[in-house]
Amino acid sequence: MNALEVKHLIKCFDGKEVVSDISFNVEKGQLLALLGPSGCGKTTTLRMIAGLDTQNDGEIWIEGVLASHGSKSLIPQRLRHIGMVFQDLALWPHMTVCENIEFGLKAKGLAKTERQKKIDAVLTKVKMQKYANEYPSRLSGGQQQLIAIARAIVTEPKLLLMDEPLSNIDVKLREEVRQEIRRIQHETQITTVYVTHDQEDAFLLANKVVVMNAGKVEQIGNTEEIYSFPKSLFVANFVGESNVIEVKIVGKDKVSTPWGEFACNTKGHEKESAFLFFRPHQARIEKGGQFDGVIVNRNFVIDGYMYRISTSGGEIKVQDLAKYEVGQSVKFSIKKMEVLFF
Amino acid sequence: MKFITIALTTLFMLAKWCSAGNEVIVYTSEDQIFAEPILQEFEKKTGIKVRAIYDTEETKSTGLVNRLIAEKDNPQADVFWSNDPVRPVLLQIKGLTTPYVSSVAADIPSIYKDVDGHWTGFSARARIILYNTNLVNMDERPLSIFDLVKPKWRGQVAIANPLFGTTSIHMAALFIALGDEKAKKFLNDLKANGVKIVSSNSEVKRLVARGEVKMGITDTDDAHMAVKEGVPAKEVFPDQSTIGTFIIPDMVSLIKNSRNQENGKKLIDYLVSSTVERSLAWAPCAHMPLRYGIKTPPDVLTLDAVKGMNINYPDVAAKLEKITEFLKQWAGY
Amino acid sequence: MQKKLTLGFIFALFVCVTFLPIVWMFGNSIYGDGGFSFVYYKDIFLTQKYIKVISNSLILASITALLSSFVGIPAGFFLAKTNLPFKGFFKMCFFIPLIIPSYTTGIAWANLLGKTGFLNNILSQYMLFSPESVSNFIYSIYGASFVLSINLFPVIMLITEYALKNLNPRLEESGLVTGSVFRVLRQITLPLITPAIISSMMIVFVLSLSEFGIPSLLQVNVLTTQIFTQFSAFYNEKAATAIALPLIAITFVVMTLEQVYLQGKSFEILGRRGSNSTIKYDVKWLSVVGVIFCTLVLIGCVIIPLSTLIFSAQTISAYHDAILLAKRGITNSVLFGSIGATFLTFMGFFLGYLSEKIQSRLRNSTALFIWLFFAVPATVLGIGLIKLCNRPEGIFQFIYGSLWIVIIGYVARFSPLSSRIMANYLKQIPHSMEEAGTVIGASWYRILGNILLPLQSHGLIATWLISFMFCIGEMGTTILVYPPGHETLPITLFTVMANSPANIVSALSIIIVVMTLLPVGVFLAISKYLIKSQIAQ
Repeated sequence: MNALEVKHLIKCFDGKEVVSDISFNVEKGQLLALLGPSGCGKTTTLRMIAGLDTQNDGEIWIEGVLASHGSKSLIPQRLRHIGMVFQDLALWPHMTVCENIEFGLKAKGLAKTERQKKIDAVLTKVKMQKYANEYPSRLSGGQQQLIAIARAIVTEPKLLLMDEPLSNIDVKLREEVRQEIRRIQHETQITTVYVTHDQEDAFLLANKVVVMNAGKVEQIGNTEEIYSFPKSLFVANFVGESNVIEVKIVGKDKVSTPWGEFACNTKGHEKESAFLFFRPHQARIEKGGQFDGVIVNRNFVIDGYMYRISTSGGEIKVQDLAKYEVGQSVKFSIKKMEVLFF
Repeated sequence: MKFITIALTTLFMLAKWCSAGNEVIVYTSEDQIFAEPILQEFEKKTGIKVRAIYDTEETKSTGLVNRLIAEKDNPQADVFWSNDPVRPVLLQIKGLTTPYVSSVAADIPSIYKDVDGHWTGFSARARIILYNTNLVNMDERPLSIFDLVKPKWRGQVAIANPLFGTTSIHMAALFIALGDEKAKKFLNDLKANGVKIVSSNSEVKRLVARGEVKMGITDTDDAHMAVKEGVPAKEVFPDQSTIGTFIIPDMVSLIKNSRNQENGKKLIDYLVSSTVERSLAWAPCAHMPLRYGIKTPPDVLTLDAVKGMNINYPDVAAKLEKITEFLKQWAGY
Repeated sequence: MQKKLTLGFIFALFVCVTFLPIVWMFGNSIYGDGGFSFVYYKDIFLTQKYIKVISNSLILASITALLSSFVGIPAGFFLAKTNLPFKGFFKMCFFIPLIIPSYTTGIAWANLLGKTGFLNNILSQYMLFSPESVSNFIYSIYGASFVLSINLFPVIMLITEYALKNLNPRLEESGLVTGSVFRVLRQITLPLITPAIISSMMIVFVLSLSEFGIPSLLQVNVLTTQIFTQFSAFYNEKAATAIALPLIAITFVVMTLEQVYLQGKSFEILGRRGSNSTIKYDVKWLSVVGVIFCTLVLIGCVIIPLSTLIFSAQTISAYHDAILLAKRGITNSVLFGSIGATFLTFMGFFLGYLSEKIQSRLRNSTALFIWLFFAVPATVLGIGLIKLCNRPEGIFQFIYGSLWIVIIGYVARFSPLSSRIMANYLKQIPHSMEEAGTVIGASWYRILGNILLPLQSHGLIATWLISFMFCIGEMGTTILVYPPGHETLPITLFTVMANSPANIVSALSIIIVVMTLLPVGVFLAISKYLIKSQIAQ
């Protein structure tokens, strides 16, 4: 049984469709990432699942029960059992950490001793026991993050929704908090939907990724499928650094590119427009390279340098360990490539 | 939830239930500081609780008469004690009053009473000229309101807005006494002479007292208060040798269909008694008794010493309705 | 569900209390003798007669809005943004003009600028103005605007100060890095708070549109005095109501203009604060200018009217007499004012929520709707309330015969104001604060009680205080509806004013000021203590 199933969701604001016909599902205990640029409708989708917005059409099923159908909400908020972490965290500044967490338990009508037990447990889980009586404003960004998560999971929700939870945290902390999220999700096995525009978040955390653009689903798959076999031009460009070059297939395993014709696996197609797709690290600058180009830009990256090379087929990105100067003419070759049809 | 209930209950406890007991409700446009002692005296004498609503000066709020009219379908007031002789007539026309002839008022001259008893007059004021003694000599003081159009007093005369209060009634009386043509001419001459139209009679008093104008037309009570406050000002009863001074009696009416009719009648009996006329004569408002032979302080004239305009008050009310539009234009409204 | 029910209930209550009496009056004005007739409206729209009056009203309101922002904006700026010495003192004093009955301020200035007045003498001796022209000035539309601005500038000051304090400091910091204080002010700070200023000017505009006391005292012919004339000279409530229609039309146009202007303007000024700090311009000459400016305002708007009062009260015994006269008025005023302010805060919160937090296309029209009748004079409302509530049936008799009719009057008159103040505060909490509670599954009342209200404590307090001040000063409606024995301080003042010794009247005015400031001070102290203990830091 799927923990969450979204079918043909449509949402309009002022007559404009911002979410159009979205469908996906999440299996129990899994983490699904909704990945896409800002304004693609992913947060709106999340809010509809949470019941904060109502869709114009479509269905949302939670653990096999129809939660909302069209603009009708069938399960009221208090019975949906959802935990949510907001982008701005929305920790209540006038309550202590403990009170923040306790709020949901009180709303569920739990007794005082029970509440205390659960608060202790969840604070232990996020390793924040000693901050129980602090006000949120006294905590660091990362700590606030963990409290927001604790608040969301203390009620043991069927579904945990996270809206860009890491976007306000600096890079160093980000990694740590991300690991914590991973650990907590693994330990609690709460089905999670995670909205992000950061592919790194998506790839490191998610069992399944839904790439969205302009209100539509572009591709659904595990991280490897998304990274290596993008199903659309958008996914190819959006996920990771890549080069996508328009080519023509002129025969069996033969393509015509701006740099001339060469052999390549065309997957059985013989006459068609297609795209040549390769990642910067799949190309190499070398003496006896196949193609010519001039380096126009060089950036230092963790492993080596990222070059922008001007060629007869436009600019391409190549990653290489060796150091070349800007303005230098070089030769490069593509070690691994893929022909894609969109 | 419990909290809200408790809070609401306490709040409702604060509201006193008002319609119980032996009481009478009176709306009065007589000034509070003069009326209150009289009403307290009545309370003491009869044991009837008096609940009063007082009016402000006419031009400071849309006063009691509008409230009375609005409350017509479910009258709250039992008695209306007016400090002018026209508004009771107006209420009578609008059908708000009910007749009551008080035997106590038998010795009040009949021109101050309605035959049927819709209204009964008592203690009166008069329209006078108040002048600043520092700026105007005793011998050049104006003896007639017609002196006010003399070039000599150009820009030196103040009068309250003629649409309201005693000023409007005074104007209507003039229209009756002089005839429309002459009255209009007089008003236009007055305007041509730079008369200052101010908001109220007490404004007239204030301007005269401060010497911003040399004289103005106002009521006796304002003049007496001015003198009491030590202001260099004196009053003139105008036109004693011609048309006479305009007399403004207080009047009292019983309101139709009110809840405490009997107590209302008792209050009316008390108000028109010679005791009250005497008290109001000795009060700072210096009302002139309508009855002859009531002893007054030396500075309060009695009606036998003053020549009043010979005017029928219902006529004034009728006239006022006709000339209001003219007055409105005259005043620049 | 709770949310919809509660908001719906409050809105219905608002419609009943504010709209019904006025709509009733309008209905009455076109219906009579068994048929409909627009005879009173023909006069307004089809004759030249009212053009002058309407334009007078517009001029009066516009000049007042402008003048009071000339005073209010700098005052708010100096309070919020400079290290002004005696800041608390100045701020407290600047509340006073709002409290002194406008009539009193009017008399004080009329005395000063009248032909024999002190200032008039100085001006005519040293500045070559003729005494006539100075005295003519005060008895003109400009004089009326002048006096009204003195009374109303605190509204603009308060809102400006509030907006400036909530400015995201980063926006100004980025300017200060590169530019001079002056440039930052002109190019960054001012444009950012413009929406707030516009909104406060609108409030003042509408308030002065509906003002009756000052135009009447200074003999300026505006719509409100016309309405008054219809009531008091002609006893014609239908015609009076008809003349209120242009006031509503003007309010509607001004509100719409404001919304058009604000459309698409970012509300960064009222957006989330980056930190709790406010940038202060720590420039010496600015503080000096501030002190001079604030002192001048203090003299003109507070000391002059107040000292005229103190001066003319003369003796201690005057205060004694005044207190005797006002004893009942004092308890009534404080009691009714507190209850009224509490209800207004309550209503204001939910109405503000409706006009600010509801995600609906109707949101903008809600704000407009709430304000529509604000300029209708108190008198029309008062008569409307009488017609509506003065019925023989038990519950009506109970309301009309008790303090509740006065409270209803307060709520009817000022709930647009309180909702506006509250809305400004509500803008500040992000939606997610509430949503976080919703998602957890808490009921709306729980969210309300544990999240929204505590988060709004400052806003609630501010709304309560301002409502309290307006309630205590209310007279136009109260005087028409108060049951015997329920008179409030302004009513005592005005009923006693006729023919009471001037010194007692002055002493009474002083008592009103004290009686308003005292509860305000006590309330402020208590609430400060409460908030401090609540947010421990």
